[in-house]
Amino acid sequence: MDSIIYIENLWVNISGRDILKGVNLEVPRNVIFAIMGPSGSGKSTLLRALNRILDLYEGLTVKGKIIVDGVDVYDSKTDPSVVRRTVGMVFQIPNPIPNMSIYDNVALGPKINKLAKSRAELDGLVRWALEKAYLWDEVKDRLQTPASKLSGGQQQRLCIARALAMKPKVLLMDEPTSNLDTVATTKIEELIVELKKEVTILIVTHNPFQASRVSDHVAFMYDGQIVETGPTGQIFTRPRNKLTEKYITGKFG
Amino acid sequence: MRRVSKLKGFLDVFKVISIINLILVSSVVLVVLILLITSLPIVFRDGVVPLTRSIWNPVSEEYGFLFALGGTIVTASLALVISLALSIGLAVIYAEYIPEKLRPVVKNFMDLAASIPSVIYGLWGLKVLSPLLRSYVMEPLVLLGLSPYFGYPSPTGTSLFSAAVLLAIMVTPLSSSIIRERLVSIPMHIREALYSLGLMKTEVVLLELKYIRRSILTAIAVSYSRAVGETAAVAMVVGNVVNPHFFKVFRPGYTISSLIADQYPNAEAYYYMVPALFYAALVLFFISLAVNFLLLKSGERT
Repeated sequence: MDSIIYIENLWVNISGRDILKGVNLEVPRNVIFAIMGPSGSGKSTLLRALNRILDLYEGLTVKGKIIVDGVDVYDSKTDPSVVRRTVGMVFQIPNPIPNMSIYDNVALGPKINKLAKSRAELDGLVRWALEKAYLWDEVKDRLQTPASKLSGGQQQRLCIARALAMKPKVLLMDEPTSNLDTVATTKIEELIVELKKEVTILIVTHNPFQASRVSDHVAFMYDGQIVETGPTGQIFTRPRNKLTEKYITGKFG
Repeated sequence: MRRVSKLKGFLDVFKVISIINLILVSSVVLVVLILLITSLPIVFRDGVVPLTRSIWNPVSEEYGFLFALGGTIVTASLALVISLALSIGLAVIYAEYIPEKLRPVVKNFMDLAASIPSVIYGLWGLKVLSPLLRSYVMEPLVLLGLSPYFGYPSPTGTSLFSAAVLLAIMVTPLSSSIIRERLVSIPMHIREALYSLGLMKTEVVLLELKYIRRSILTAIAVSYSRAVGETAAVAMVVGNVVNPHFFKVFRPGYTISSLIADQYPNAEAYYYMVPALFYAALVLFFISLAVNFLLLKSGERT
């Protein structure tokens, strides 16, 4: 199977505490891969390891190996900003840069990484990303207004557009709907399914129902380890592990 | 009954607070009035002429303090440029490079520097900074042939330039702390957003500085008003010489506050020197008022 992400015996320790304890995982190309598990199980840390955003945290040690699209992410010769160009990220709190306009938020990544040769090309890229994020029709007449003027759901779709504008191979989503209402959540879930054509999506969620709604593959994490992984249908109908079963039936978490 | 007496007590407190406030507000008005009234003799005699010429001749009772006005603006502006570079640099180093465990130590040290009495800065400026600047900055630049622009330094190094550098060092702890506190309070999710787009550290820092530009404006205004009004330290290193060419900053000069501090002790011996000094003080007052007004204006805009 052609996998885009390989994780091999990954240990992450932050300030003396082991958060990830030997994670092994393979993610196939162009699927939606959900990582579910109770809070504190290390889901967000695993996601943040993939684009080395973890480097921002103090007291960090990482052991093990991560290969994303053929690049050894934690190799000493690998530039983290190069990794982040292939691995986009959407966060739990919608985090557009508040003092920047809608347009500038989307254009920021392509501009700094010189992905567009001309102004027209950049305009096109911004439009493409906003259309992909189902936001274009709502904002096309006010691209220059500050991003902070948008609603929470719109801000989150703006963040998705911002990540897409970098044309990433992998999109990491860290509980992207946990701060949104049900209408905005439904909209984002539809969008995620649609985006599978463009990128491989890794979505972290503490909600097993969301995982079952959107994902093709799912991994269940508990206490810094992957307990079970497989096609979504199989995990939700015939879980092999007792913990997984308890989790998906809502007995804990 | 008890309720009424409670209300009465409250009204009494309210009255006392109102009176204290009234005294505070009226004292500002009184200060301006006294400045104005005391300076009236020279205002009636010379009008705005003292603002436009550089002459200080008590014997013939001729006064014009353009040299001090210029000295104040030149030293404060130069100090502002230097301190802005220092403040932003220090704040960025603090927020980006110093590990969290060491931060309290560095922070306390910077805050301590802000609380040193200015006369101590003055002594240090006179004995250490001015000679140092003379030997390692002013003289080399003069040797490079820049004396037509900056003038020749005095033997001790006291000069408008030394005053500006000293002022910059004095205001940096405060203005840097304003920028620093805002920089470390940028939420983690904003920083993550910037880094997740593949930005380099320098690019992230530049965007963060743009993001907190209002705090930088505040730091500028606070530094400028402090630099314009600083007296003791400046009076010790500025040289206290009437220098009509106040743009030649390697020369000694005067600022308004150092002029008042230096000249007032013998001002009573002349008719017009006290009014002249009060006139200068009035001008200084309006400069700081204008700076504070600009600060308020810049704060209003988003």
